[in-house]
Amino acid sequence: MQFMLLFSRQGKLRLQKWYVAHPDKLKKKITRELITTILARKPKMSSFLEWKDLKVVYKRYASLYFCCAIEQKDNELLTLEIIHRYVELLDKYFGSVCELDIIFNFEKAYFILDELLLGGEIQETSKKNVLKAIAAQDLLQEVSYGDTSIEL
Amino acid sequence: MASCARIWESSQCVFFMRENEEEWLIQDCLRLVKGKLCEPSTKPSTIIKCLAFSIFSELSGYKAEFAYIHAVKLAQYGSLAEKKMGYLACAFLLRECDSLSVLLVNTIFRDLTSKNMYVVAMALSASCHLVSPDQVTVLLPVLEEKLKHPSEYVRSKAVIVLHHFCRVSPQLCLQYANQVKVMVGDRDPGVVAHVLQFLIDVAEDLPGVVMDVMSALVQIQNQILDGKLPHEYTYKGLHAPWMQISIIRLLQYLQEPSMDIYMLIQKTLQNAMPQMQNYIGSAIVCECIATLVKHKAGDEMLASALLCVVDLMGSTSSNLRYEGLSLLEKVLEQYRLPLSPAQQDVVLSSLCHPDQAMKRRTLSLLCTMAEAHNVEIVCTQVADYVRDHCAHNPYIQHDLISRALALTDRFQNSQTHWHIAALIRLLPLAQDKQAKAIQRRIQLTLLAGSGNLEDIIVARSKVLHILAKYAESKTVSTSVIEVYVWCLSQFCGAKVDDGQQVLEKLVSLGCKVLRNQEPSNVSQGIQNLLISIIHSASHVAEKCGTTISSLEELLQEIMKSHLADAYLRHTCLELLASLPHISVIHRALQRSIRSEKQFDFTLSFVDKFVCESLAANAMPYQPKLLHIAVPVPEMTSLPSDSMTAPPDTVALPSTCPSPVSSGTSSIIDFPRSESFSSEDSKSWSLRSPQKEDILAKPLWSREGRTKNVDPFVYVGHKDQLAVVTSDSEMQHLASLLFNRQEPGAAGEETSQGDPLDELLNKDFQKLSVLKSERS
Repeated sequence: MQFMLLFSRQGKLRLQKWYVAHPDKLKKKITRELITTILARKPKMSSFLEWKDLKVVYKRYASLYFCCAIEQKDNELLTLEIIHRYVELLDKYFGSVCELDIIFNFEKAYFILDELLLGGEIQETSKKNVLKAIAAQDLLQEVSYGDTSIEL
Repeated sequence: MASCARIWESSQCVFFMRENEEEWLIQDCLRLVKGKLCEPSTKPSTIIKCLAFSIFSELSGYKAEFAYIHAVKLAQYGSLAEKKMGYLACAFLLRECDSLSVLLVNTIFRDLTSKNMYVVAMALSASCHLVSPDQVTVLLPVLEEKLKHPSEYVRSKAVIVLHHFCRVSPQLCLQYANQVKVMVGDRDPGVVAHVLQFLIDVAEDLPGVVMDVMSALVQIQNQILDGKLPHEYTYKGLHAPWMQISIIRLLQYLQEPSMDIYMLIQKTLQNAMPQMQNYIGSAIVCECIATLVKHKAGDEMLASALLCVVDLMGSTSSNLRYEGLSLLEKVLEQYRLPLSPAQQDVVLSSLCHPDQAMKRRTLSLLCTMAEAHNVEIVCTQVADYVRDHCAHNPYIQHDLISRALALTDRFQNSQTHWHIAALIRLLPLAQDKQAKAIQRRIQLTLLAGSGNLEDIIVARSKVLHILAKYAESKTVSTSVIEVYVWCLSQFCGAKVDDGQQVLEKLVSLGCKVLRNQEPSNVSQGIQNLLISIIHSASHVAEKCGTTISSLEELLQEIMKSHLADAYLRHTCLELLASLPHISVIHRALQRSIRSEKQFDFTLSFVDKFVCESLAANAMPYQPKLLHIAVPVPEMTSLPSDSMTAPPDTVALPSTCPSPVSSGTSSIIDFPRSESFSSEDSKSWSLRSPQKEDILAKPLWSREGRTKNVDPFVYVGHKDQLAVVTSDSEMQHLASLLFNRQEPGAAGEETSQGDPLDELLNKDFQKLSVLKSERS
């Protein structure tokens, strides 16, 4: 995966995660163009489109578009499932997640995404393990342990 | 001054404000945040909130560069929770090449050696975002240790980080592939899943590594299918689907799969088929079929796979139908299978689908399955799609045009000349090198197409009419006009009247081009067109031995215009210098054709002058566009009959460019070079558009003139050059694509008109303009 974007129906960017290095200007340009392209698509159209030399997979959940750019050799259906997996994780963590949860707790959305995807590859397909890891880190955040090793 | 908590709360309301209010509020908050961060007594929890706001403001498009250093400090010195936020902020705000990222490498290295596994995990996650390719070597040794960490949480992340490093610095990291390979036997399925992803990426560079673990992969897949993995890896009724897909993809790298492998793929397919209504089930099915097709599996293996393709194509979900079309294309690349009427209907409906992505996928499929009877309609559909939907997508434009060009090469028809019509349609839609390639194809086909001479002459005449009509359109593509002027010069009669008529057309065209340009607009395309016009005029003048006064006036006007660069002025001067002697040149050329004596067009009588000039560092002549009247790869060694060949096929010597006149243009286009060393100059070698082995021998080198170079090269002709929603529209399309009979046409063969005649009746204004979808 090259990057993942979350944006609202009004074109406001809510989350972006880049797995390839690009200058800021290029990132903004790509983001702007892709958001315009996807918002122009009708609801009944397929979730896949070819954009420049990448494949883009997107899905709309309520008022948010989840959009991933993958390479030509990657499987589109798999990416759709990764998006769905991420939404399930957010839903489980926040409890009936909505756009406002992501807006007000976007750093937690990033932490969850980092547990699901690392370096552009899915790192943990077990929902239980991801949520366990996040919950354990949240607990440590509250208790504020020092430098001791902890068994999971 | 508002406290940070109030800043944070007020910033939440920014989503409901207008843009200028939002900008004012965020900038105001950023000023407060900056102040807070600079205070030495600020609590870490406040710093975290300030950094979160900085990330938010950068996400909204407002820079918060003052926060970067605080993010770095937090990651370096904070407690566990602070370090987590610090790393997140750094990963978001910094790039790998930033100078501040360099400061973090030591922090990451130190954290990787921590006893706290969460600190180690954070450092591993941060490595993927903050370590540049140059600094990878610093972390590799400690990363290697983490591959053996007691916690599977850390081992998984270590494998992923190594995978990431292999992508950014493959030469440094591929040596660790063997250590990762061994981890296929790890006790934790999660770690194994990441190892599989790693192996997929290195499989092409290190096939041996993948071959070593094949038997292990087969065992793992059997365990997965038998449900032996923990329940938490089940997703939508399928056991560890991501791992299954990785394993099936790795099986594509086997050289000669055994029957066990085919049985395993079959078992995986049977397991996933009941879940095809889910995307994940369909994803596994797609991967299995792709692997079977890659290995060119036999009919029995493929039969059940093809049923799945049919199911996907017939699905009501547009995503699954899209995948079905992609899969069908892969199958048809390897196997020539007829489509059933139902499948043909799916293809047709996808071609007319309002979703451009579906249409694009269908076009790609049609290009793969094109046959001689439907290739013309396929190319027409491709051209229409490129014109209507690819104005802002040069990648798809380039890809589709390449595929159409491959079809014109493969299915040329010397009787119908559909391929010439298709090339003319595609030419205005192509850019740069593709446009040049199309021009070459048209020119080669018209000059030396296969089939009898009468057909070629008729085709030339039709093409001239088409291009003449095109030249009268309001909006013209310079690449098409270049072909037009070339055809005018190439195929005009040899009499004086013919020549003067053509010269008048060329001059009129040149004047139109020159006078319609704005003073501020200096386009390379226009300059190339003017050069083509000048070369064509020169060729006609030499062929017919005549000139007209308006040609000299045009050349003078071009030289004085804002469009003229040094090369254009030089070209004009060349022709102006030769026009007074045109009758002499004409007679010399005529004599060279009729006489058996070989003339030395290498101008060896000026060798001494050239040697002395090169020794004095004079710049060698480098024509931008070379003329080949005898097209590559080969032409016939002209029999005596060809001396009475039609006057529109005058052959000029081709091996060496004449320094006086380089004739017509655009066969070979060399980049203008600023270095004028004769050794650097490649203009002596004639690059064939089709084969690289036809090269003229270099004439000059640093040591002087080369001996034994034939002035003429006539070689034998080896191969003859084999010089395309409403119901009724759908039915017509079906009849053209799949040879179906249209209703009402029972018992009659559908006769297709001449493609060139059909093109002549088209509106060129509409054919040549790429439609912008963003109006």
